[in-house]
Amino acid sequence: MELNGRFCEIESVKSTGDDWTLDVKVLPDRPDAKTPEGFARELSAIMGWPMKKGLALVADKKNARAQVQFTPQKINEILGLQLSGAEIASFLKRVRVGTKESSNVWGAYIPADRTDLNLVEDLADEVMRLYGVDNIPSVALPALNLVPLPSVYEAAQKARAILVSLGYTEIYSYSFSAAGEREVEKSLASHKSFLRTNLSDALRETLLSHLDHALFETEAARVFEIGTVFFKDREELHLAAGIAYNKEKYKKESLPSWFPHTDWSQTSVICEMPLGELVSVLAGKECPGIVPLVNLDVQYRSFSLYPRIIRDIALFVPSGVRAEDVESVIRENAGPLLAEGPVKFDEFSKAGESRTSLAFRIAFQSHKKTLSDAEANEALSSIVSALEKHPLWQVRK
Amino acid sequence: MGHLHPLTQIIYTAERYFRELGFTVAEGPEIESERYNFDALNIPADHPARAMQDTFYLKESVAPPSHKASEGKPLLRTHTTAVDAHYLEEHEPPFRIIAPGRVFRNEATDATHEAQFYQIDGLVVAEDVHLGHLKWILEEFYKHIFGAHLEFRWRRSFFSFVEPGVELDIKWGGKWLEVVGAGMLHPNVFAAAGRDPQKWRGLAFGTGLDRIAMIKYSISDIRLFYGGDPRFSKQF
Repeated sequence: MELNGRFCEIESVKSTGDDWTLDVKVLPDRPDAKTPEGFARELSAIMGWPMKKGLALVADKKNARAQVQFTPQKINEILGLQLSGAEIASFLKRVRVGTKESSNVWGAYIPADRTDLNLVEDLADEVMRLYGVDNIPSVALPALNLVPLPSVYEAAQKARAILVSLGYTEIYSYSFSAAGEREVEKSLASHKSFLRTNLSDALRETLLSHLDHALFETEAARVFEIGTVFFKDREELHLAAGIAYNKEKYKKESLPSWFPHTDWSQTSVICEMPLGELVSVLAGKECPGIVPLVNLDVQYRSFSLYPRIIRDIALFVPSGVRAEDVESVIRENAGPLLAEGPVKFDEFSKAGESRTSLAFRIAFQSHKKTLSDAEANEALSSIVSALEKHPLWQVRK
Repeated sequence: MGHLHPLTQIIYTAERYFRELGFTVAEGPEIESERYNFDALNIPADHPARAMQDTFYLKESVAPPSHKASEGKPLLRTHTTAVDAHYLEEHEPPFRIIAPGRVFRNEATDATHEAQFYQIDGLVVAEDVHLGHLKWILEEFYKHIFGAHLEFRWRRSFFSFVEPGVELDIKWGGKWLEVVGAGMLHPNVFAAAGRDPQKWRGLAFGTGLDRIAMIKYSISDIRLFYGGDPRFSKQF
């Protein structure tokens, strides 16, 4: 384990009776360590084990392949250490690099097989790996003043904050497509030979899949992407946003005036434009912050590829009972088949009545099979009986 | 309320952390040239990463006006480190940048490999920065995302554009996971950008954002990021 990360990675160690076989990946800059002799030299250097005579020769003026000038100060400045010249020389000696010093200018004699050692930085690398990267102290980098962000980058961030706060979900699609103006050599598949010229095509597909998976038929799908598209003479960062109410109607819209939002009530629209056109529109604009939209604490749950079964639950509760209270009872008693919801879709109370009617939608789904109605009903009935344990809650059947 | 894409959430989390240290965001093209993707980063002409099986080259008989012939064939950038190469050439140091963005590799896709994914690169250029600063920046960054009690393991590693090069592992769920490659910017990279390697030192790092998001959110299939499935998107 001591050897890992010094010049090689040890893949496996096997006993062959009275000896051992090591499977070792040598880092690409060290071809010299690929021979048994070279490997033995490295073992000796790192572990401090004695070498057979002849193998251990430290290079000197007569047999050196080259001489590299260095100062201990320069090596210390690269590594953030305070080693003396003698300490550095002793590290180098372990890898058979001889040294000489005159008035604080040092010369390193490079052995013939170490073709990778040519610069003072290469010597610093040798010292670093023998000293151990872990042993080099971490030192705080003093902070500097805030530096402005590129205007297009900032516009992208604002556009994202606005769109997400309006209910749009961000997607990343593929840069490769079946048609376009720039073609790649040796593409992975014929439908991935070109680079995309727009984001709208992929967005349209995504809108359809979002409609397919919506919990309510009346629910609009809202999706956007910010990404690079490629034309014959240039590449361009685009923003595309789309809203779909149903699968048939689409209106193509390309006016930047669309942004940030116009009420397209019940009209499905996809809008695409170069992000650069939005820089001035967004520059002076008050925008929702991006920070609250970032949550690293999410634990992703893989979704099932089997069909789901949707069920609704409606109940009367005394006025003052919050929908969230009911939702948590549903969630806690739904069992492992609950895949989506509960989502409240109705709430009303008649004037003069002291009770409220609430309605929630949930979806059941299994990771292992297509659910039967009976299985969904069983899960539903355990929710219903948990709700009915509250004496004043009345589930409507 | 809609939902931000989980990779956007990771990018903005990173941006907030790095901006407080005085970093800004740098952006670069997704169609790159061999020059900025490889040559300027000290990646030799015979390096395996340049091979057709790893890199998407563009099929173009006439190079578009945006590409100079001297910059080699146009390709889809294989790492956001290409943004560092542009920035170093165009901006007088000192500076601190991060470059988040989409990158491409020509490889078959499965649950852990995609032909497109996201990286974030970082570059600090100053006269007085050293490896100890690099270790601190990255340790604090991963603590910021994964929690204050995170355990680290540093290893020596090799990347053409740094010397020395290191790699960081974090302990997560009882296992060591490689999370970021880093190092001191190679003198050849400074020279290629027309900056004096005797004067400047650079802290460089680069890592996959999909991988961070997969570890943090417990996502088992990288392809979910690019499918637009509402059952995925609406969980974030």
